[in-house]
Amino acid sequence: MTVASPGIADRVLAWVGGDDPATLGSKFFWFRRYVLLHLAVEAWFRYTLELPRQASDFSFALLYTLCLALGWWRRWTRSAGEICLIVVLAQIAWWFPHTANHLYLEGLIVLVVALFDPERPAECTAALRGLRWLPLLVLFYSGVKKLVYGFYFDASFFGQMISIDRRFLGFFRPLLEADELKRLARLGWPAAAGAGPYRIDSLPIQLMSNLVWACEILFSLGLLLPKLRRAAAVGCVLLVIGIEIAAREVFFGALFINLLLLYAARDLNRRLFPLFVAFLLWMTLIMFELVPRWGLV
Amino acid sequence: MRWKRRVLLTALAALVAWPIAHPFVVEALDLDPWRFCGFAMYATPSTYQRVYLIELRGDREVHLHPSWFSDDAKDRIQEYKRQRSVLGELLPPHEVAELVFAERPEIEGLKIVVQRDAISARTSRVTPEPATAFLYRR
Repeated sequence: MTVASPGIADRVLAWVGGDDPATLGSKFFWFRRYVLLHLAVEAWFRYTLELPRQASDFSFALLYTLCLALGWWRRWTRSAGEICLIVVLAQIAWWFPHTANHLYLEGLIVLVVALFDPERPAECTAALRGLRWLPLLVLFYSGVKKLVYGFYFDASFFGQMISIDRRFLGFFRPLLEADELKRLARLGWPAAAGAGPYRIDSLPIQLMSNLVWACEILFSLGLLLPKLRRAAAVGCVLLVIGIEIAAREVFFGALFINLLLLYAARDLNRRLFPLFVAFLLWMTLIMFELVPRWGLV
Repeated sequence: MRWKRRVLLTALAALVAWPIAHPFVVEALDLDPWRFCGFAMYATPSTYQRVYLIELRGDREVHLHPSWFSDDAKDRIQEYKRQRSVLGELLPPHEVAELVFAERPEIEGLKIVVQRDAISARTSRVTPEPATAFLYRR
């Protein structure tokens, strides 16, 4: 028997790390479960809290719940992935051209979930490698785009966000002098031609602004280097948590951290699954206004 | 298994290539950089789309105020602005022109000017981008 040597595509796929056969299937299995749970809860959350309520959002929430229910049984897990792929593609098409980037990412994740069988080790290997590439590419390009567009050098981006978004206003309130905060808040958006400047002159804020894109690029590239991979993955998780404290897109943040956990040597997707279920449960309780929001939304 | 791997590799190759092309496509077509899977969300400040409706009366240009239209027409013009801010030049205002001609039978000529307000990375101030004008005759 001869063993075929891996092609260039397989070698490129493997740049994001090898896999321990002992945890391979389990990681993919628990990641799949989280994705199905995440999509269902997120869809109900959107339907419940985004007014006016849309019949389309209700339909998507119902279909994702069906996928979740099917996916809980091993016998139906493949079908759940396939139906989920159709639903997420329909959702992307429904919202187009206003489709959010995180929905495209969810589409790619569900594509992998639908394609590969968690019961077959060879398929798990391909799936996990494919999934690991996603956070790497997303973070890398997010950093590059911030660098190329140039609004992070003088923190102009944050300046505008403070002027229009109470999440950012709240985040930066303790970090900025009252006068500067008032000036930015007064600028607002839209504004007359010539209004501004939106730049923030505070050195710590400019430093923080530049650290965002620099860390996104460096940490994501670190995921490609075996010696730095674990540290880079931890850095990425901390970076995502930091970004979400300001942006508060917590569903996306939790999904992204689950993607990054696939880089861990140990099976953290399974071990931390209860923690993420607790998070989704809390979000569900927020949906019914049974618990405080604690700034999560 | 081979076809599955091919699908995966194709998707990843698209994810590598598209964000490189994305800013050029966005620039060429005046699209919203936050959209279309270019991973430029939170990379650029928000922009604001302006749409001016101008009646051509001989040599004169008369700005049409939104309050001169029915509520339905106002909603549709607002929706056009929303779509235009994302789709840019892919969405010329032909339907808005038809709407104006239908609502205001006395109008013979119409100019629709679309313009985006953006923050300049150089000056950090609001700088209107070059306007695009569309001319219509009944």
